[in-house]
Amino acid sequence: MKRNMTQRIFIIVISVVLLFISAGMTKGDGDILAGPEGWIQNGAGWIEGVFYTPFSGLFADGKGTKSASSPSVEELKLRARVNELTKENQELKEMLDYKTENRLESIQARVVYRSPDRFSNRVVINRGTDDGVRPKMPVVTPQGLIGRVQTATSHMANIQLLTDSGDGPGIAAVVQTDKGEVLGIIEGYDEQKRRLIMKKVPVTAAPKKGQIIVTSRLSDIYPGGILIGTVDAVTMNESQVEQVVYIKPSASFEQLDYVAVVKDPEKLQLKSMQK
Amino acid sequence: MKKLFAGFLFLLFILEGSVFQWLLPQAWGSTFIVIPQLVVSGMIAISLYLPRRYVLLLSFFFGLLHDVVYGPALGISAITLPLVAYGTYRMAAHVPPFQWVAGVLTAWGQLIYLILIYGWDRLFDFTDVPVVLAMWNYIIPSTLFNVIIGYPIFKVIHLIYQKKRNRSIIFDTILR
Repeated sequence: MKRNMTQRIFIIVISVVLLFISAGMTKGDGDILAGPEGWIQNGAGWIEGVFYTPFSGLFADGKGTKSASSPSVEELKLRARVNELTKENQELKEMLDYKTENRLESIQARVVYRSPDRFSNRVVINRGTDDGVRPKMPVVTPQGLIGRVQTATSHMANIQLLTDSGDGPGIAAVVQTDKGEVLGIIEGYDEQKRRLIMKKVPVTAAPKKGQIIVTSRLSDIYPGGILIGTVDAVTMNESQVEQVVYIKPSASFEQLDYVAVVKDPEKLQLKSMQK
Repeated sequence: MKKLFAGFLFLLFILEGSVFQWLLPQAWGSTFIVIPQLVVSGMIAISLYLPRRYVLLLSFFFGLLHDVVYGPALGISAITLPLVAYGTYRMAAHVPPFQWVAGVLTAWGQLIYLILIYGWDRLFDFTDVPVVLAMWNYIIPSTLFNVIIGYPIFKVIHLIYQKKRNRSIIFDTILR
């Protein structure tokens, strides 16, 4: 009995140590996943897409289907189809506008599944390195920036949403004030207030509520001018040497369907030159 | 029977990331966030019936699958899920698998699983959610939801067991 107990404790300790090692090693950011991990994710993404995408039609207007009488299955199916087509049409049109306005190349994609584990916010899209997606590329919807590519496999890509409060590099962003642009860095997300946190804003600047925040051209990976959100509140940080701006994101991070990965030729060139 | 269990768990696994992401309260703008953990509920129900070896293997496999497909790093659920399943297996060894026993075990298992996952995520810096907020807005609503959704899952697993048990009953009793 006693030996049995020691054995059990030993097994638990070993497995916790293994957890630390494996989590530390696979915490990878900006990797291209090949081998078994990539295959599993491709396969899972394909299967999940079959379940995930049909639902976008049902909830196309974001209100769900409501009806007083009980409609027949045929009617529901047709309605779902109409909703889906309307939404697809509208989203693709918006995408097109977005593209012509911004003159950046973009890769259209659909979300195939979302991680249920809400402590880390990530979604997976059905475009991978074969379609030109590379880690660290920004991902947008017609409403604005939603995140960046974290890892990619040959046919799928993991998107880390802006709402992910874990570690990750900050995003250089600018507030468009009356007296020119004010630079800051977006680091983290306040779950309670549901606002993005922008730090390192100089004290001399006076951002006002409602002013627009976009990505900065100075960033290594993000092209300039992608809409992020509007200023909601401004406070001083604890040491009183810089301001903290709370940003109300313009994009919705729920019920995601069509997204686009932005490919900025300039930044790609920059990256290859750095190498 | 084991193949059926694994197949059913895989279906639950797929539903977690796809269909439920459209239906849960957070998709409609709620501040309460429900984490669907159908696989954990299923695994707990299975741990009432199968021998230890299969419980551990199956839970390790599905934990690892969760890490590869959904998780931020490998190993987190691959270790937590067998731990929780083994715990409920040990507790279930003393009582017959009545419905209310399954309910209580699911509630405990889900709560402990969520707390452990939150702990690991916080430790490895995958999340920044404060403890109190995580408790009230994430863990408690999720536990309630998963206990409710765990009832039909338990029923299905019970049904599969009832139908298939004759074939392997001797085998199981020897191993258990």
